[in-house]
Amino acid sequence: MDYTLESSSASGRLKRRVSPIVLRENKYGYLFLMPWLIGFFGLFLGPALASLYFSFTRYNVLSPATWIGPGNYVRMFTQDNLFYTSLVRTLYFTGLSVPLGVLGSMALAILLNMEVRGKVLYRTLFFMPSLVPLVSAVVLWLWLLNPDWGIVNNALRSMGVSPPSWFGDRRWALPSLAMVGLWGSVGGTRMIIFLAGLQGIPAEMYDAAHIDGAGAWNRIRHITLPLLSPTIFFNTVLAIIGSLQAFQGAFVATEGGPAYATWVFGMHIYKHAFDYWNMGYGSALAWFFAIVIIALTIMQQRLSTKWVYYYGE
Amino acid sequence: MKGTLSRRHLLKASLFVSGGMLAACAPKVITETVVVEKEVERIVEVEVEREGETIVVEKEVERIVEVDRAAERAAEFTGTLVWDTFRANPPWDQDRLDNFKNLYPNVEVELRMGVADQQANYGRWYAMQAAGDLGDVVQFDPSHFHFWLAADNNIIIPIDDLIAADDYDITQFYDQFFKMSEYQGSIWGLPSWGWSGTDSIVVNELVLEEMGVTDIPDPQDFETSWEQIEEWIAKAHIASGDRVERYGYQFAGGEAGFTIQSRFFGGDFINPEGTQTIFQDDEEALRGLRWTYDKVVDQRFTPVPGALGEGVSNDVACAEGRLAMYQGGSLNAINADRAVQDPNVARIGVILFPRRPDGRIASQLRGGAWQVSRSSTIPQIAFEFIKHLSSREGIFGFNMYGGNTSLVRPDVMPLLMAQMPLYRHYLTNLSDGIGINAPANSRGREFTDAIGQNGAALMDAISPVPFEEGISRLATEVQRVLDEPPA
Repeated sequence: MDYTLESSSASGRLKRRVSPIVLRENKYGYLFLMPWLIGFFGLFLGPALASLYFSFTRYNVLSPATWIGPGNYVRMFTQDNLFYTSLVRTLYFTGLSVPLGVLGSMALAILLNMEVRGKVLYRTLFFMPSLVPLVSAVVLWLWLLNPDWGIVNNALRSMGVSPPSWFGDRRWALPSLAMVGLWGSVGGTRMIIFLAGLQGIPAEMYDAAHIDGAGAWNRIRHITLPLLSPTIFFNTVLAIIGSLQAFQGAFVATEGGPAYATWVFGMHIYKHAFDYWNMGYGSALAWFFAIVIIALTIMQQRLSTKWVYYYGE
Repeated sequence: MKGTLSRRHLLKASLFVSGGMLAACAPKVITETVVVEKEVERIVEVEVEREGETIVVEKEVERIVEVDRAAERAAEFTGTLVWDTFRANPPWDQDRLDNFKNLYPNVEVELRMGVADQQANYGRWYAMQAAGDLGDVVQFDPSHFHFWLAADNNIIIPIDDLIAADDYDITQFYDQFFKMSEYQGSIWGLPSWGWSGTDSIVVNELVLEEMGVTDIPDPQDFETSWEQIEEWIAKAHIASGDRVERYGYQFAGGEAGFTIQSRFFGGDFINPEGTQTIFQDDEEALRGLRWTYDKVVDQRFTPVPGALGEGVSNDVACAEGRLAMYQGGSLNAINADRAVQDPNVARIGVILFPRRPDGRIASQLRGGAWQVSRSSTIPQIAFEFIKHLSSREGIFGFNMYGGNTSLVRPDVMPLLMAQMPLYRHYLTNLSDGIGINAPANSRGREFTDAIGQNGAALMDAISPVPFEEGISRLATEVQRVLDEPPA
C-alpha cells in the first residue's frame, strides 16, 4: 500500500495521505461494491426495516397501514391456533431433517474420503441430486411416491409391506417432505464441506493411532469426530436454519395439507402475507420467527464451547 | 482529504440510490381523468304518418342506428389500454385484440398475461395496484372471493353510469351471472367466465354400460335417485386388497365442493349474509355431507389425495378409465370429454344430481367478471373493451378457442351445444342455479383454506375422524374466519 504520513501542524495528529493511484483504485472498488450495497439497502435492509414497522400495524398493502402497537404479537400467542400448529410442524420437520441430514452427510463424506476405486465417480453421483432444484425434486418424488402405482410403493408391496400414502397421509406427509429434502441435501454442499473438513485432519494422527492399536471405530471416535467438530457445528447451524425456513417443498407438494399436516411456519407466514393480505400480521410472524432463529443460533454458539474442539488453539 | 470518497459518503450515496429506488416503487398519483362519452345503437320511438283516410299519428318502435359519437371520439383517441388478465388463451385473446383494433384504430391494447393458475395472479395485481401500475381492464373474480376485496379497496369502479350512458342491454346475460358483480347497489363488471359449479356427476358411460345401464336418457328429463347413484358407484369400484383398478367415485373438495354437498338435500353451508356457518345444525346439510363421507371414509370408493398422480385431474382420470364417476360440472365434463384419447376406454356423460325437495338442483354458481380499474384514465374505452370481451362472439370464442367455460349468455348456448352436446345438461342451473354465499368480512382466501384443510380432515379415509367430530371442527374453524374483522 502506498501511504505517506505527514504531521499535522495544529493538532500533532497523524494524517494519512492516499496516493492518486490508490484513490483511483478505491473509487473503482467502491463502484464495484455499489450493486451489492444498493441491493443490501434497497432490497434487504429497507424492506426488512419496513416489515418491522408493518409488524406493529394493520396493513393489507391496498390501504395505508394503521398503527396497532403490539396487537399482531398478542394475536399470534392468544388467537391464532395455527401459530402453534405451524411451530410444532416446523420443529418436528427440523427434528427429522437435521440429525438425519447432518449425520448422513458426515457418514457419506467419511465413506467417500476412503481410498476406494471410483471415488470421484461416487462423489459426483452423490452430489448430483443436490443440483436438482427442490421444486423439480418434489414433483419427481410425488410420482415416485404415488400411493397406487409409484415405484416405491410397488417395491414395498412386492416385499409384503403395506405401503403408506406418503403425501396423501396426514401422518406421513411431513416425513415424506423431510425425505425429499434429505435426498437432495445429504450428498450436496454439506457433504463437500465435511469432505474438506476430513481432508484437513492431519494424516499423521491416524498413523499414530493406528500404531497405537486403535481400530477404525476408535479412530473415528477419538480423532475424526473431535477434529471434525467445528465442521459439524457449522453444518448443524446451517441445517437448523435451513430446516426452520422450510417452505418450498410444502408449498409445491401439498400446500400445507392434507389437513394442515405440512403447514410449516414458513407456509403460515406466506399465507398471511401474500395470500390473505394480512401483511402486518405476516410481518409480525416473520419477525417473531427471525428472533427464534437468532436465539437458537446464539444458544448453539454458546453450547458449542462444550463440544467443539478447535485443533491448534 | 479532498476528492476522497469516504466510506461514509459511499454509504450515504447507496442510501440515496436505494431510497430513490424504493420511492420509485411508490404508488403513482393519478391526477388526470379523460372523459369520453359513448352512445351506440339503440331503439327509439318515432312518429309515423299513415297514408289514406285521415292522418293518424301512432307510436311505433323502430330500430335505428344513431351516429356513434363515442366511436368517433374513440377513433380520435390515441393511447394505450392495458389489459391485465389470467392466462394465455390463444388465439382468443389475439382475436379480441385484433377485432378491437379494427373498431378503434388509434387505441393500442397492451395485453399483460399472468400465469395460468388464476389464484396466483391476484397477489401480483394487488402489488401492481399498490405500485400504481395496474392496467385499465382487470379481473377480480367473485368466485375467487377477490371481487369484494377489490371493490372495498377502490381498485375497481362501479360501471352503472357507463351502462346507463351506453343504454347497454344487460339482459343479454343470464341474470344470475350478471348479478354476481352486484355489490353495494352497484354493478362492478361484465361476466367473463361462469358455470354452475360441480352440480352433476360426470360419468364414464362405458362403465355404466358395463353394468347394464345401456340407455342413458337425456339428463334434463332424467330423474334418478341418490340410492341409484350409490349403487352404480359401488358396482363401478374395482379393487383387490389395497390395489385399486378403478375408483368408483371422487368428490369435489374445497369450498365450492363442500358447499354443494351441503346443498344436496336442501341445506346450506353458511348463511346468505356470510356471517355464520349453518351446516352443522342443519339436518339437510348434514345429510348431504354424510352422503359424501360414507363414500369417501366408510366405503373408500375415492382416491386418497395424490393417488391419481401429480397434476392428474379427475377429468383426465375419468377419460383414462381409472375413475368411473365424480362430482363435477360443465367445465369438468367438457374437459373430460376433450381428454378422452381412446373411445373404447371412456365416453363422457353426465348425471344431474337428483332434484331437491324445492325442485332445484344443488349447485353453486361460479363466475368471473371483467372490470375497469379505478386508476384507468380511459374508463369509457375500457368499458368498450370489456363489452367487446363479453359479447356473443367474445364469449363463444372464450369457450371454443380459449378452452374455458363461460356459459353466461343464453345466446351462446345453442352455438356451444351444437359443438358439444354435453353443454345442454346444464341449462336448468344456468338460469336457476344457487348463488354463492361469500364471507361478509371479505376474507375469502382464509375461508377457502379453512374449508379445504379442515374438510380434508373430515374426509380423511386414511386416518378417519368420526363424522360428528370432523363436522364440529370444520364448523369451528370456518366460523373463526367469519368472525375476523373485515379484510
